Amino acid sequence: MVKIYKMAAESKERKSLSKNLLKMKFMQRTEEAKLRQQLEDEEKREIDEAHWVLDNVEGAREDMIEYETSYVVCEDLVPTGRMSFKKFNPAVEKLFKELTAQKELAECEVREMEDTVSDEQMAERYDSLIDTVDKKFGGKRKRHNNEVTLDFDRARPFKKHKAQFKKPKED
Amino acid sequence: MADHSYDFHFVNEVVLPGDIVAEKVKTKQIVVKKIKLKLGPGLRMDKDNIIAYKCGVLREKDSTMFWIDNDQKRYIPVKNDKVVGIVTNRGGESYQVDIGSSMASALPFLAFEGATKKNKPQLKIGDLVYGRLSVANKDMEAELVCTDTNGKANGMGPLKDGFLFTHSLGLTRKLLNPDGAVLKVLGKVFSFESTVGLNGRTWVNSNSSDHTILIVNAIEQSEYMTLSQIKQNVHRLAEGMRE
Amino acid sequence: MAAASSQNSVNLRSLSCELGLLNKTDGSALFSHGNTSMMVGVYGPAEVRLNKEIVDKATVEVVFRPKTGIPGCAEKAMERLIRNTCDSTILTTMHPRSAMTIVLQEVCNDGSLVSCCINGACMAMLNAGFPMKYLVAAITAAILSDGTICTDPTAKQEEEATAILTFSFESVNKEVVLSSSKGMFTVEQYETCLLVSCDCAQKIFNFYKTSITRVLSKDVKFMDLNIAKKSKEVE
Repeated sequence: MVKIYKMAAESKERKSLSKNLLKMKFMQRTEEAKLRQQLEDEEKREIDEAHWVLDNVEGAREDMIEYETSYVVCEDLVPTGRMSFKKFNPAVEKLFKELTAQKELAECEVREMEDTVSDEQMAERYDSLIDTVDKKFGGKRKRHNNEVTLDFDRARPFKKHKAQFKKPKED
Repeated sequence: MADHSYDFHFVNEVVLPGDIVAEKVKTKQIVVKKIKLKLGPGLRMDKDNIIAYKCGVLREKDSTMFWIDNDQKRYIPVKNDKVVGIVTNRGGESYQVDIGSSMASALPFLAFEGATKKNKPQLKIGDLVYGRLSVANKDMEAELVCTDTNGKANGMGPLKDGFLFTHSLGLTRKLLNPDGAVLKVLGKVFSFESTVGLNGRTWVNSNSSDHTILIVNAIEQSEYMTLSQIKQNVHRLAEGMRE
Repeated sequence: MAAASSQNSVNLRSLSCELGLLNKTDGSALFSHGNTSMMVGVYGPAEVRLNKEIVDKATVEVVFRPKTGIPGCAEKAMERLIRNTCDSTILTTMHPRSAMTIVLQEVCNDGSLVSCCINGACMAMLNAGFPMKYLVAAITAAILSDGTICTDPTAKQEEEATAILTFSFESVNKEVVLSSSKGMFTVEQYETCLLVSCDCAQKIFNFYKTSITRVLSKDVKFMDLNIAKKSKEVE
């Protein structure tokens, strides 16, 4: 047990970078950006939480509506207004390409997310799977709970409970 | 059937203020997973109805986002919009920048990429800056910064030389549309640089003032032109230049 | 009541409206009822003078400029009527601590001036993209000496009239936003005027819609929509 703990600690150490490296200017910048992002997220969450929400239907309805005040999002405008043509300002030209590529990439990712199965959906599917598997095994293996059902025991304790209560009633 | 519980009328049609654009569909059946409905500029909620408060054409995207496409001159600050501003004053900690809205915005001295207390860009009154609105809401003074969320400039900052002109916000969105034609057509003929602010201000810089004036004229005239007309116009202007 | 309205003249003079003529304003309209015409320019949301600032909503200001001379008491009273009407249509809470200014320049006065001002202001506000709850349409009705009701009277008819009533209606529920009157009239006459004016207001709302559609169709990006709509109408 102690050994395992040690190994975990070692791998953790290996992952983090040295103090000196972290102190360097360029590392600090990304660190700062990360921190800022984190703060912004936290702020957003705090604001969301601070909103007073009525517990009735009205509150639920409001949640389904979001205001998007920017035309940039609505009309899919280019992410930056700076453009250069015929190599007047190559730096701007390069930047424009980069930013539009970034935006396209982000859009692609969103689309991909929609196409692929999300964690939530996976969990949902797995949930329904448990039901069917439960049914299949339910009849035959009532007498001896083997390791397969043991696993599900932990996943759906409520279900198991119900079955236990029902049994004596029928008898 | 749409995923949200609103029934929209008048999509791609002209709507006027007060028009009820959508009503809540009254269904007993509760949809398990609903998609968030996004309302863009020009639409507001009133009880169970969605009502237009501006005139224009109702547009939709993916049947989850709705907005009113209209053309106006006055800019209303929106968070994260990139705008072109004019420095009007210099305060203790920030510049005062006019962005064409009802109130001037503040640009902190340190809101530039890599700016420190000792090393920061010096702007004079009348200088132009291209920046992002980091704070913009109706109750507070807007705040401008010249960095993106990661602290990078990404093209934002002071604009040197060149020529600034103002136009309607409708033209701005045409210029910034990925399918926008004017700048691309001009870009094939002239070598120049432009910065389009979402506040209806565009800055153009080129090798000579003759070219700049011509480009500005071509952009201004393009507002109500079709693609073929734009091409024709640009070539006509370019011909005139050569003579 | 239908009989009453048919016996009176419910016709409007020809309406015309041109939008966006002024370059420096945020929105403008040249609106005319027959020979009466007003040039309206609006600004906003713009910076507000400190003493007029309202913390939770926008300040609506109306300035009326007569063709000649300086505005007097009558003009000031008119400004107030127009201001109150416009104030009710604008969603002032959307732009707190800012000014929404409406400047009305008289071009020609041939009766029904207040109506023309309000209708012109409404179109100019649409042109400027002010956030609005609804549209307003104003109608002036004159009760002539023989008791007949004449809507949208000329200056001559106004002179001969025993009473002049001005109403404005909002476009959503067609409710009365403004009611102003001058002269003597009976309750029945007032009610008939109200009904007749409401019919006329509908005509003005239709006119608003067609002029806005025409202005928008100037834009290339809306062209396809309007063509599609026109073909639908032809069918």
